[in-house]
Amino acid sequence: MRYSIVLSALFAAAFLLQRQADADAGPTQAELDAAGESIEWLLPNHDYAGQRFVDLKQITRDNAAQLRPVCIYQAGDTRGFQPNPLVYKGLMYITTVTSTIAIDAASCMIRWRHDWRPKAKEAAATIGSVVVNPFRSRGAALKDGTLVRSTSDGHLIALDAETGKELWERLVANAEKYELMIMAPVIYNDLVITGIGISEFGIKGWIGGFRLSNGEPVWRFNTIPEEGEPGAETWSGAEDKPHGGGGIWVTPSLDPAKGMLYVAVGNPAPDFFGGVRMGKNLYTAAMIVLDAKTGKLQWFRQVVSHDLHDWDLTITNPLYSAVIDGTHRSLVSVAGKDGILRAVDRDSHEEIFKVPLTTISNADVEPTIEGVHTCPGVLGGFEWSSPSYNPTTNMLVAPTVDWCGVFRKADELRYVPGQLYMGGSYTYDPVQDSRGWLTAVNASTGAIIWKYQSKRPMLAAVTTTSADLIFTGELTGDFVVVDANQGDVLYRFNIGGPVTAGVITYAANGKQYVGVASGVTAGFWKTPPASSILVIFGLP
Amino acid sequence: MRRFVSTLALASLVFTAVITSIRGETSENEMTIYTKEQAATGRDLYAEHCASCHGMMLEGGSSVPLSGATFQTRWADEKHSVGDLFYIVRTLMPYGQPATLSKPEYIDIIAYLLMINGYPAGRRALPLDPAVLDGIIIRPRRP
Repeated sequence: MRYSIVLSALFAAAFLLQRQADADAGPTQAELDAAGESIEWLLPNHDYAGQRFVDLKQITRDNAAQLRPVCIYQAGDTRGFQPNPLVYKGLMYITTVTSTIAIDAASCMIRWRHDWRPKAKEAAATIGSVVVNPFRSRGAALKDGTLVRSTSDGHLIALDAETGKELWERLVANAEKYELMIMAPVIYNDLVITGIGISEFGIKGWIGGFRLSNGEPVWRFNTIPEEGEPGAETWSGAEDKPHGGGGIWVTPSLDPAKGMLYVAVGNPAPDFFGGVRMGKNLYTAAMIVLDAKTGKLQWFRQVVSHDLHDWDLTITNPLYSAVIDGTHRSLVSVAGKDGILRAVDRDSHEEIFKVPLTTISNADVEPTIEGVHTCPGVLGGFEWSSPSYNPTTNMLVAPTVDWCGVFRKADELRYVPGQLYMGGSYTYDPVQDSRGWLTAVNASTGAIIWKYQSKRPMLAAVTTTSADLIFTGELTGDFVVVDANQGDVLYRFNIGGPVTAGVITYAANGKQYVGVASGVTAGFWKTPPASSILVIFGLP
Repeated sequence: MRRFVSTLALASLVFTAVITSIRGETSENEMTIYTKEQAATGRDLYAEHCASCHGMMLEGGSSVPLSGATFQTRWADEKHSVGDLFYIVRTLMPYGQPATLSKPEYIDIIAYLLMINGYPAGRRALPLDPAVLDGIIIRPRRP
């Protein structure tokens, strides 16, 4: 009896010590709540608000031209590579389709690598007959020494951030049915929050909260209401034709003080054949605001009612405060593939401004069998990279795609399992007619301050600093540093492959660096083959 | 009239037996799915519109193979019909320029695709009738 009491006490002590060690490993909830002040990179968009602003001034307008690659990490992967790296205590964490990697954030020296071998069925890597690499990992989430990411076969996995050792795994989505958890998750208190795409396969979207300690499901919100749920009445039409969509594939923003999660919901399906889904089609192409602890809907704002152009809502960050007519207002930046940037008051839910940042044409015209030339095309508009908010200049800096095309409704609607459920087709304008914009906007009024034109759509993440610099990248392979005041390019370096995701800046060992991810993106962007690399830039 | 209906019913029964499956065997029933002439026309169309991505023998290139294990896994699962295959190809292909060929051209390409995948040609042309195409379930091809 006495032995058992002693053993129990020892186990309890060991458990508590382990818990304490995990908490010591960080980042703690308090650190995550204050990530906006961090000169590392703790969350996919730097902080819960998704401002992507870092108070670092070593790299300036005067010395930006002296930037040089410090080191390059080659992940050895030629599949989709669009991670949002994290940096904490000098380690950088990146993800590929199957691997999770920790490298030294100043030297690229590898600390550990974890390779996931799928245990459940994956989504077939074809759409129709085209390879699109439907799964890609946009990154991981980190808290209390635990790194969590999703996998191509529907698992959430947790790794020890120090060693890469697997802590737990849990099957939470059916990847074979294209429930793909592409986005980098969010960790808030004891919950890991993530959602699923891809709408075009006729999935019924959801976002869920899972226990950080073991992946156990805690809550789930269906973006396509089930029969009897609120919003189900906004869908009507042919009962023998399935409807769905509402994928969630971009990391939500979070107001940690109020525990509110701001989620961007994708388009309805079938995409171009609206007659079988008459109504507003809630909650597609909408921002939904959820209680992060329970998943309960607090309020929503639909941006495109009854979408017919594959215009996902993709962006619900940054959260920021600005002075409007002399009053401080709490705002959220809302944007999607319709190409329009909006600011919405988080308290009154009023729209403060809306400003088109791409070519808009025939946006209200339904696709016909003959075809309608429309802008934006199916690729937006805004894709997965959000505006950055610079509080020192009260400026939003937004990357966009400007590429139009012809939408055609099919002469019949057919759902073929495992194939795109478009209800029509889309023909791109010639690739030489595609372009991108980086646009600086007054965050209070929506007034455009300057525009930078890229030769190709702009997909890369945008980061701003207190030195009034902007770091971003282009499909051409260029990493660029832009003057935030004028929009002039101060530095350009071609890293050899398209830059379509993470571009971050941080300090390690007291020195400012810029991390740039480059690799394969989906075939429809028409970029050459590339390898997955992470390049770290620094001053000499 | 009754005799006509009976004849029609018998013909329908035979036709149904002919079209309900393709397996890649050399039985008489399955010799009637498409013709060599269709596949030859389809070959030329495929070369012009599809081969640059999928390879001339459907072996794959910048895009997926349309033959071998990939085809068997994606299409020959007894859940998809030739009608499904025809619908996807004619509404989504060629990639970036979908729905730009005529339906007879698409059906000839389907015939070529079936031929390369080992489903034998015969005397009956693959028709455009959706009801007929939907009735042709693509079954696994035996090695």
